[in-house]
Amino acid sequence: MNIRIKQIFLIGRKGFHTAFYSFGLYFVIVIGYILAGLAVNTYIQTITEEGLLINSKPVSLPLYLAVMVGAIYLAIAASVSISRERESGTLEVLFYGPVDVVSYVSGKFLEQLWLSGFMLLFYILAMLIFCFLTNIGSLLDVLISAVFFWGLTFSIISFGILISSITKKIRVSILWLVGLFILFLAISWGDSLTSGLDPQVIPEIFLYPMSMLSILAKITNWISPFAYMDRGMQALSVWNVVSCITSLLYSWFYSLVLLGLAIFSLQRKGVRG
Amino acid sequence: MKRDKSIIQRLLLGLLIMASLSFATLIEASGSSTTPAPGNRSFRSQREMVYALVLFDGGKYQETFSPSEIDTLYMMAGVNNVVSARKTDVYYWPLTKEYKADWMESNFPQNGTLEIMKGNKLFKLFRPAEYVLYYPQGTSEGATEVKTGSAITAIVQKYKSDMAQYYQKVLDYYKEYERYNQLMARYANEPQKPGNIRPVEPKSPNPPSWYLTQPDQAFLLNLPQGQYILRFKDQKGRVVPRSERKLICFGPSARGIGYEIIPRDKWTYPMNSNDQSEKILVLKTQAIYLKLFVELQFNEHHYTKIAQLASPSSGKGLENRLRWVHVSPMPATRYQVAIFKNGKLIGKVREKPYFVKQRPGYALGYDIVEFIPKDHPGIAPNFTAFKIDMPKDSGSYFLYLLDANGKAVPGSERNVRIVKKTGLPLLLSIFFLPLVAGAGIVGTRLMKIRNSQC
Repeated sequence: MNIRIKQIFLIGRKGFHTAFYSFGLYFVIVIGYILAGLAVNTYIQTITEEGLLINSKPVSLPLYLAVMVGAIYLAIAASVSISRERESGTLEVLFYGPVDVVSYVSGKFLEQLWLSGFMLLFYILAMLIFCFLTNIGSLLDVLISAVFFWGLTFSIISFGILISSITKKIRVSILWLVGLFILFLAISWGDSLTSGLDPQVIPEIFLYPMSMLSILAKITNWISPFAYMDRGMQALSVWNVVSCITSLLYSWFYSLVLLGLAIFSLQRKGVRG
Repeated sequence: MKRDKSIIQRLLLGLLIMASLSFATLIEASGSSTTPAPGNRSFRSQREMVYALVLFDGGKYQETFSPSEIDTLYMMAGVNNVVSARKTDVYYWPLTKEYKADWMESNFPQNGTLEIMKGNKLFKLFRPAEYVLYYPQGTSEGATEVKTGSAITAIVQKYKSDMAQYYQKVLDYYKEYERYNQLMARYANEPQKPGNIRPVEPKSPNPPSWYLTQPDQAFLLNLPQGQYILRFKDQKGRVVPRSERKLICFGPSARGIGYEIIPRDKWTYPMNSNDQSEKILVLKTQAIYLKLFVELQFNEHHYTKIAQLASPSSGKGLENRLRWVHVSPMPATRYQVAIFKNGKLIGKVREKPYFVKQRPGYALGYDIVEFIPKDHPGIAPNFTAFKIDMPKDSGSYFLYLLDANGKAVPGSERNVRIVKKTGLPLLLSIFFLPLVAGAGIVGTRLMKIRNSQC
């Protein structure tokens, strides 16, 4: 096997083991379970109140919420992991050996993919139990949605890796990541909230800020990893296969670009803390 | 020093981004040359040649227009669409973010011909033709048709005759009402007098249920799917400046059967199931009523533009989305709805009329009962539909529409899932699973480390 591929697997496996034996991972899975459970409960409430519910993939929203929580955790974990290794000097020592930037970044990405796959197994189990208890979906629905969402999480994970490659300290890295996540979500939610308002009732003074927000939302739509998750979720909710595949390809391309930038940033800034 | 330089660089970058965004916003906000100050409608409106459009949306005709700022028109292929060239005052209304035409103030039809080009070649030449819009079930509901040629004379005659009959009935009604008032006054004077019978109030006549517009002249475009260039030539054969537009004629990407589903407990809040992939989730105690529709699937952006062409932002972001449109109700008498479970037929239902009966007394609510004409004289049913009582067993069922030969109609399949009502505590109780798994994995690891240290 090529030595670089060996290194990638080695770095990935080491990181996976560390997270696998830490309790934080399981705690995040529990949060995902609670969110998914609440979403399923909302469905039941809606069906009880409205008489019926029409939905292409009822299992997708609960699963999406759980996967989203997991992906945010993994992005932060990836960011912390790289920053910590850099800050403590481990990264510098590692790079005296046969490890290079490409294999290091790829290894870190692989570690997060394995972890997200592992978390997904728990989420699939939860969804199957929910389906058994409520009959909102089938095994096939759960599996299709799970595999699809796993493909979409690439974007959030690679975003975490990019941020950690730019920043040098753990604290700065987390602040940047969380700050950007909040900013992206605030812009996206703010825009969808204001664009739904009747333009005739909006005071004139708000038209300019709204216009600014709309432009920011358009930009965010291409740079925010959540936008790629959202596009996928929308495609899945109407079960448009072409849109599903397109959103998956967009997400992977975005991840590739971010990983490329992370490699470039590490090469340019160096690995010293 | 180096740190300060970096901060300054970042600040400059931030300022540059803000300035670019503000500039872009200003450009967008400035819109076109016809953009007026808010609240001043006549300010900066300009007189120009526009296309007044009456476009078919699959069921009805929608009115919109294309000012010179809107460079692309969208219309359905294979049907008559009405286009007329007019001169009017156009202004941009920022509150609703759309162009408006002051039709009341200025509306001047333009004489000439309409050319449809494909590439650089003339594809078709249109001259003005007479047309009327025919609303068989009135303007508020049902489909609309365009009548042209010899059909106009016959239908206009029929409409005139129906209207004349209606006016005659109205005159007769007024006369009868006058007589009724006299009889009523006589009756009111001596109501107890033997043989004095209370007069019956005459009923006002109903106007014709259908409607017809006045005959008018326009270009009636019926084009195959494709992209064209549309331009207007005046009577001297010169292309009118700024009359050129791109024209996109589009058709449906799929056909299907749509259901309007009325839940028994909320009959005034029906929901639509438009796509085969949609699952219908219901509780086992529920009954639902299905109404059938022929539906077509269109590109959502193009479809939105049919009615909202004058709004430049309409349809934005919908370019790659598809939308089902209920075109017309299906003549359901020939069909049955069949319910299957695991490939076995559970039951079949036919369409029936239903009547919503309010519960008497202080009890709130209503009951939906089958409408039997002799039990409800002089009353029409509230709706006709296929009633489906949900089976008692929870599980996954499939609905199909069967035609007269008992064959499933393509596109009519729907998955119905009977949902079990499960409480939140039970749903959340499974959270211990990852905790147990985590405790087990981490605990085993710690035990191993401790053992190895011993």
